Amino acid sequence: MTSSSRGSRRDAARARERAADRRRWLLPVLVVGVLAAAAIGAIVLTGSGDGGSSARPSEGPGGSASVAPGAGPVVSGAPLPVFSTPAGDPAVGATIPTVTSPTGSIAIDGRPKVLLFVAHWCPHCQNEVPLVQSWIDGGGLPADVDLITVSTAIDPNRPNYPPDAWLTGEGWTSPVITDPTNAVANAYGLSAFPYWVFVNADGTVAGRLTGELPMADLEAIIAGLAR
Amino acid sequence: MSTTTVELFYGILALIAFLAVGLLIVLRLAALASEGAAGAWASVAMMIAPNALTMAWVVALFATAGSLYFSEVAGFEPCTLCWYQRIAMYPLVVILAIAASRRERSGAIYGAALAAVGAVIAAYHVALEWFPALDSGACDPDNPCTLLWFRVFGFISLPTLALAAFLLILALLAIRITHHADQTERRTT
Repeated sequence: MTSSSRGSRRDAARARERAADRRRWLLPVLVVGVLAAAAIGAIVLTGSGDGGSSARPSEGPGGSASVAPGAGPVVSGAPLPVFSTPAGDPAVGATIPTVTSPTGSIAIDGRPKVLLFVAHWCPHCQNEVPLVQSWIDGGGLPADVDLITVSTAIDPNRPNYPPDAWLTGEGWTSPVITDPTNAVANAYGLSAFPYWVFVNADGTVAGRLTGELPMADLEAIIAGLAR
Repeated sequence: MSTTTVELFYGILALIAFLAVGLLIVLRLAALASEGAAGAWASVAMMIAPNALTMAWVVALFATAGSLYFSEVAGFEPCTLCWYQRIAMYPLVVILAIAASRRERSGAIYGAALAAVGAVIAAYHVALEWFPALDSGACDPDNPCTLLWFRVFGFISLPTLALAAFLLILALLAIRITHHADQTERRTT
């Protein structure tokens, strides 16, 4: 590199430094401008109702859904142990607790059952519900098996509330027991969502699972339920 | 001011942050290929570098304020991954304030390390929101990390806000660190 080209580069660098010094006021103005623009944009968009996709009906710290006394399900029978893993599940063979509620019931009535516990805010439940419904629509559920849904962990401050609107929107056709006090979930040993309990015709637990279940697996389990 | 307005405010800031980081990356890459872009990059870096610590501190301050607002005022309970991101973000407010006031380049290095860790965790959290099957495939009944409190403009959620802040802090601190190295190199040639 020649000394003249080195000198011209140094001059260019000095010129850039001087220009940067002159523009130093730009940055604070830019920061304040960005904050002001964001604040104005947020206020304008809030007024027009655009932008956000929050599904909450109310604001403020969380709490559970308010329930009128006596409106929740009534659970009878010994509770199942909390589910941890399907292998060696101590609940297998135990008799299920029975449930009566204004919206549905779980009884020992000689019919095998699939109990699906869902939470409206759980993305895995949101994924699974339409899959199960299209499986039902396609004739996947045998006529001699009941599929009963328990809508639990209801929280008006969490997304996708209320659960009834969500399930209706998905075209959900199975009976839904609303569990506002989590009494049914606790009695069945729920440990994660979605939560599956498979019940033989005699009212004993055939197995329990958590998570999204492929429909082929669901069919295989249902085929194995004692009639 | 409603929670929706605050969500939108931070959503717009995140959009601007992503845009700024994207432009800086494009300009830096272009500077490797073109003399003109190299000059433009040098001017931009020279303008940002002396104020980079302060600007990064402002970003960390607003991110921390937003995090506290959403958990303490709006009632969005932080999940485990949220807490890990908080562990990376909150100390940045103190570290960058001290580094900016003392004009210490080492503060930029410590800050960049924390911001990089936070960005990786936030990126994983964002991925988890879009693909919940990446985790155990089931929701924790108390407070799963897949829970989506809000999504502004169809894609900006809480961890996306954190990711934008971490990336912008990282970009600013990288300019501060490398610009100092450039100057040192120039002085020695």
